[in-house]
Amino acid sequence: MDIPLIEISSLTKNCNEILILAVLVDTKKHGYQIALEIEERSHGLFKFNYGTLYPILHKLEKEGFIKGTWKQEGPKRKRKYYNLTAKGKKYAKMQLTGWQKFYKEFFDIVGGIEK
Amino acid sequence: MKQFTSILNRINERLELPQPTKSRIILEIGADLQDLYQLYISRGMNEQEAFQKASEKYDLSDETLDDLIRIHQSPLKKLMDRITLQARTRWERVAFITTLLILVSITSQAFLSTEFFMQASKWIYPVLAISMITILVSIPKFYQFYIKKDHRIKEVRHGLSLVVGLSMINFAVGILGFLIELYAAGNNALLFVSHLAFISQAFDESSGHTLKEIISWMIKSSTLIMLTLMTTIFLAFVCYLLMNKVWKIEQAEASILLTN
Repeated sequence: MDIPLIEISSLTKNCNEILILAVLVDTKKHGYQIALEIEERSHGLFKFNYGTLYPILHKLEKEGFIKGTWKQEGPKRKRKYYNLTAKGKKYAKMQLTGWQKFYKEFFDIVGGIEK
Repeated sequence: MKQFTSILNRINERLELPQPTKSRIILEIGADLQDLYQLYISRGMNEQEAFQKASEKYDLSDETLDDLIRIHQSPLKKLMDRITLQARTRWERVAFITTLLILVSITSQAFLSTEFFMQASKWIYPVLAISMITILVSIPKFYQFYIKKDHRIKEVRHGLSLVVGLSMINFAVGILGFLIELYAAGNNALLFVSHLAFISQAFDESSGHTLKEIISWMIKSSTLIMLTLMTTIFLAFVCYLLMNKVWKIEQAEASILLTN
């Protein structure tokens, strides 16, 4: 697995992916919990339309980075939980390295403003 | 989940995916919506406000739904769905069946004569064999849907890819045979021309032979193409009937899911 190159054109996509992976590091969560946690932990900075979360979650699941598990909760209620897989953990670390590289390059350029 | 039926109905109408996948997506979003609604209530909102806010948060745009379709739809399933989606209205079905009947009536006389098979390319035999296998494979599905009335959602699509795949192979083999016959006829004609030209310079006779090769290829290949197209259209009709039934079963399942 190569370190992903964070490009301006795919900034939102990569940002959403790493945020989702980050909140799944500790515990399994279901869709709206993931979005809510991102929103609350960022003090409202990263606001999601919760609907946009599902394509990202399902894509990550298809790629094997997260695993969705259905759980029966009550007689008529089924819930889907997501947790990070080993492959996902590795991918998240790679993404983090990619982001660090991106920010280094970014601040190398914009840091000059302070001088 | 009942208060969110309109949102879930919209997702159901817009998501062109096989029912087990679609049901799972609707179930997941529905349950999350319900939980978010309950969370807002627990945070002091009244029912109206909680419903309003949860609905706003789950406003699934067309782009989002298209993304979900892209993620869950395999190219083969996309093609299979298109077969039925393109002929869903009554007049389209009538047009489809009329075309099939016209083709059958025009070509049946040719097919019934032994001369047709005597003159045909040997490639008609694999085409016929694959067609027969496809029909045999589709019989259990017709039995399951129309006689046994087994509409279990997990089972409805099982085996359909094989029917569609074999129909495609049938068409591909026919076209391949056509091209191979063309290549062989061209090769034979060229070989004969060059040999005769070398031995006796008899250009007239050689060109006569070339013409004979070409006519022979035309007869062989036209029968092959006629048979290939007929079997392909027939198998497409078989696929259409099965896929249309699957679509109806899945729609029934979706309405049950949404009313619960």
